[in-house]
Amino acid sequence: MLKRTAIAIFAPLVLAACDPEVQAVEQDLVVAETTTTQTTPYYQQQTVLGQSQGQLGVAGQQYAAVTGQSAYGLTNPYGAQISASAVSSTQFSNGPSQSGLRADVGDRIFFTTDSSTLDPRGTGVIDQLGAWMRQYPSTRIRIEGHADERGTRDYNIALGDSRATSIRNRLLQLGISADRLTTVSYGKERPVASGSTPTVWAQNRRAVFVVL
Amino acid sequence: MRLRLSTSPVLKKASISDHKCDAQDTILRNLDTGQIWPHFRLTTSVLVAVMRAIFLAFVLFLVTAATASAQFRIGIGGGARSTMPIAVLEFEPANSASAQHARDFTKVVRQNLQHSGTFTVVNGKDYPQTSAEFLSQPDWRAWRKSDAKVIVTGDVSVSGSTVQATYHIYYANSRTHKLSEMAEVRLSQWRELAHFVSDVVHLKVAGIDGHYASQIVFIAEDGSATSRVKRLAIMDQDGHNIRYLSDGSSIVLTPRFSPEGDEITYTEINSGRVRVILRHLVTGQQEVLETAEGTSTFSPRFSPDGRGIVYSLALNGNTDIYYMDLQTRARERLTMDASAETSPSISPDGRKVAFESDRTSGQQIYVLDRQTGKVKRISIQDRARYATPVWSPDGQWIAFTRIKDGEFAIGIMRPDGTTEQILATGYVVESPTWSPNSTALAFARQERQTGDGTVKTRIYAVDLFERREWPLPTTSEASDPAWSPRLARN
Repeated sequence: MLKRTAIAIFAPLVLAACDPEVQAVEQDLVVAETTTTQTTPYYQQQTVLGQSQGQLGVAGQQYAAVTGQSAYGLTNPYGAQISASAVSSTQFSNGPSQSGLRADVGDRIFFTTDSSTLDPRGTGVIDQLGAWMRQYPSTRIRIEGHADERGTRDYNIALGDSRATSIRNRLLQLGISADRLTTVSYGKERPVASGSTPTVWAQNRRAVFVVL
Repeated sequence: MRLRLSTSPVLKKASISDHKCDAQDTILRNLDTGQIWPHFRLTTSVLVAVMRAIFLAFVLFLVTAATASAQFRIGIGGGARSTMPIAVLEFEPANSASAQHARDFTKVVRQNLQHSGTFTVVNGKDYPQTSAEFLSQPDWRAWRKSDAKVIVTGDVSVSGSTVQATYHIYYANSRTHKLSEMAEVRLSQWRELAHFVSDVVHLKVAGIDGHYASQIVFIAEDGSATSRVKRLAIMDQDGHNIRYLSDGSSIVLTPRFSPEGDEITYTEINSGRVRVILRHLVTGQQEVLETAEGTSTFSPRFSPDGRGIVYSLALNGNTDIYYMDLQTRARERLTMDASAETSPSISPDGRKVAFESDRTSGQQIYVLDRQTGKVKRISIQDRARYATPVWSPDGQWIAFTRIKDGEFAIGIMRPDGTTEQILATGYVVESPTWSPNSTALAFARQERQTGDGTVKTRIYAVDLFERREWPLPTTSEASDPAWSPRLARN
């Protein structure tokens, strides 16, 4: 936990020192991920949530001042969500609502540039989402695919659609019924962060789960 | 539609007939009886927003002095890259009430002609004579020494609720009088009068139609980056007279005109669906093009014959290109690939479809032959991504967006992929759209965001020949322009 906090505080400084290339962010992500895993798997850190979020918030302010976007203003686009999770594999305690999903599983995953492939971390989140949907069998979700601003409008709609569908397909594999899932692509029309930096792009290349 | 007919000769200035005029015929030009736009003509009474641009309000009389001796043909088609220096003298106000309109009228005509790629408007300070001086006694010797090869002059007269322009075209070198006409329109439509006169000059001098009597449909943007409000809007080709067609409650994207100019098709994201919408501009009626469950449809574009729409349809994560016949509603699938195919554009002859696909590593432009079904890649640089191909109305070029080393550019290439030329660059430039006479492109340019939540995006146009770029002065941020067909005929 201490280790995680240290990274979070350090991250903005690292970014500031980096050449603003996508590569830098990807590397940053990997560092964060690796170190986090060393401590505890990111989906088993429920107890950390409150405290680390507060510290992340402080750490994030420096960066937030640059991006004007505080909610996900850290170099790691997963932000505080990394620490949100379940204590054991299928017991979710926060209820079948959007806020419950956000607290127990997280409501989004991220993608690399021009890709709709699920990375190991994303796959882990989707698997948790599948478990969550099994626990709450009456829930239906909409998967929204998004892209960053560095593509043409039409192509980004196709890309967002592909991202949302890759998640849908994974959930179908996990046995979730197709009639509980819908997808939509917003292309680059609904960014969550503003700015034209690698960090902002990374936060915007995402898919979001919306409980219907 | 009220026509005011006049039987009296329009030209009263004796000086005009003194000049070299081989023949002087009085021709009544009544555009209402022309063979243009029958559909619109029938529905004018219901239409306000779209029709206001239009020609039908013109009551036009003219006396043509037909001196065909000097016919300039410039650049386009001939291949030469030179523009015609033209002097647009300040139009004389017929009375004090006309002074402001005369100035504004002159300004619009000058700006139009400068933005044609065909003309270079000679700086007004370098004119040896004013309109009044020229019309009473042309100093040909002085004009011959000036840069101007063509002289446009005339007067503007406001009376009551109408405005009248008399305009003359002369050639400086040959000292010839090319044309004199008079046109009249409701005062509130004085800008259209200026566009009309610009079109007359373009056609008479360059031998091809101008693009001044046209409009641009686009997306007006407001709000911060993360809560953007997008509205459908239409403006004149010079960025004036903006009208909004939607209220911003859903996301609207990539509008395009039908070849008749009476309909648009666009993409709407609303209630968790991405759908192509067809909207009639006269009646305001709209409908969803594709209703199949589980599909997302986007990137629509009319076929040049207006009979169908080519678009992208995403199903199970795979985007391909489809064509729908608007009469039969029969849907034809044009591509069958696991990759993403989008941004289709049908060639003017209807035989080919240009589109982008990421079937190799990144986006590239391909052309499908609809007869043989053969697909050929035409963009050649592997290091760059090529997107949004758009066939020019004359079929000579394909405009595109190129992304290379993170830099966006708007360019043109021949339909076989040769002769690639870049016309504009920017942080994000995209959505190229052709002027109806294929001489200019409009596009959207988004600036790099500073992170304070603002997004700066504006529409610009650039001509193919001089590559002069100009912004369209929209009141809000703007993106996704699409140029209309020509809305009038001289």
